[in-house]
Amino acid sequence: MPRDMLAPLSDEALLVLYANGDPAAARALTLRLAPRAMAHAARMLGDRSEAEDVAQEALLRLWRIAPDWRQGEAQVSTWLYQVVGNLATDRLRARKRRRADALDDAPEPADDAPGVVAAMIEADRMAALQSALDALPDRQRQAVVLRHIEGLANPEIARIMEIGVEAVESLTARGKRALVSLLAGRRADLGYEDAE
Amino acid sequence: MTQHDDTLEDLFRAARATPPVADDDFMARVLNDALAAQPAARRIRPAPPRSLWTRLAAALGGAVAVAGIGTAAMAGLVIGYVQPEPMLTLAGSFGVQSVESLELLPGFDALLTEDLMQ
Repeated sequence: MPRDMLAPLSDEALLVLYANGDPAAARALTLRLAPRAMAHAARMLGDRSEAEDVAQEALLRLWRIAPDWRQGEAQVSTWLYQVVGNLATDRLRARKRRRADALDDAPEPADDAPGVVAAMIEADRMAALQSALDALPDRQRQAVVLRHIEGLANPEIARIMEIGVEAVESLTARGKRALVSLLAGRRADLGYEDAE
Repeated sequence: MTQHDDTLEDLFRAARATPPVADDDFMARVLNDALAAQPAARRIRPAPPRSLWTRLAAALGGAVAVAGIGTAAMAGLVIGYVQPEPMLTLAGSFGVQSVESLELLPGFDALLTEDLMQ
């Protein structure tokens, strides 16, 4: 099917076409979903190379389950955010285990703050935000990224994270407070004039 | 605290405006995966050609209808040849006597004769 005819189709309809062997649907889905998966993984992991691996793996799982996709049960994007989130969390845990093995002591998230400060001194605003995000506990980071950067609504985040809406609100609120705390005092470094 | 919240909102806005860009190599890898994992297109096979008998049976209403018609035809032939007593009695009650021969097209011979004479 020509690509311009695929543009108005939903992700789910494209997935059905993909499962029926339409190569144009494979291209359309890749163009639509791969950048989103990669961006989310990058925000979660703070590492582009790892983010690409995670996004590629998540999409590979989507391609494999496409023939068995149960229509109407879940949105494709919700499913994808969920898989990216789980794979990224697995990587973060593995990263922490490696760090713990290396230091023989697992650092608390707050212990990352000096690293955040050091990064902010030299880095631009985005790097500073990413460093602060990296210092959050995994679930808080995932909720904050989905809510405030991906711009998703709380009910969808609740489905992605498999928790209640109130738990999402709590995670995002705590995450934002932690970010404010991590970024406090660095406003001048980030180019914001401090009027306090 | 409000200024700090504003700072954070500003950073979020900037982050939304500048998402990490997927490069061409990554996109190519994902597309290769997609095409490699894609099921082959399902081909719709044309229906096999149907025989004359199959089409005739379908036109008459299927195999069951053909069996019914065949049974009725056989029963008619048997009754016609055997002429069982109960049937003759039944026919007699309608004023029909035993039939030895039946002229299906009366007057046809005359027509033939006329044709031959011309």
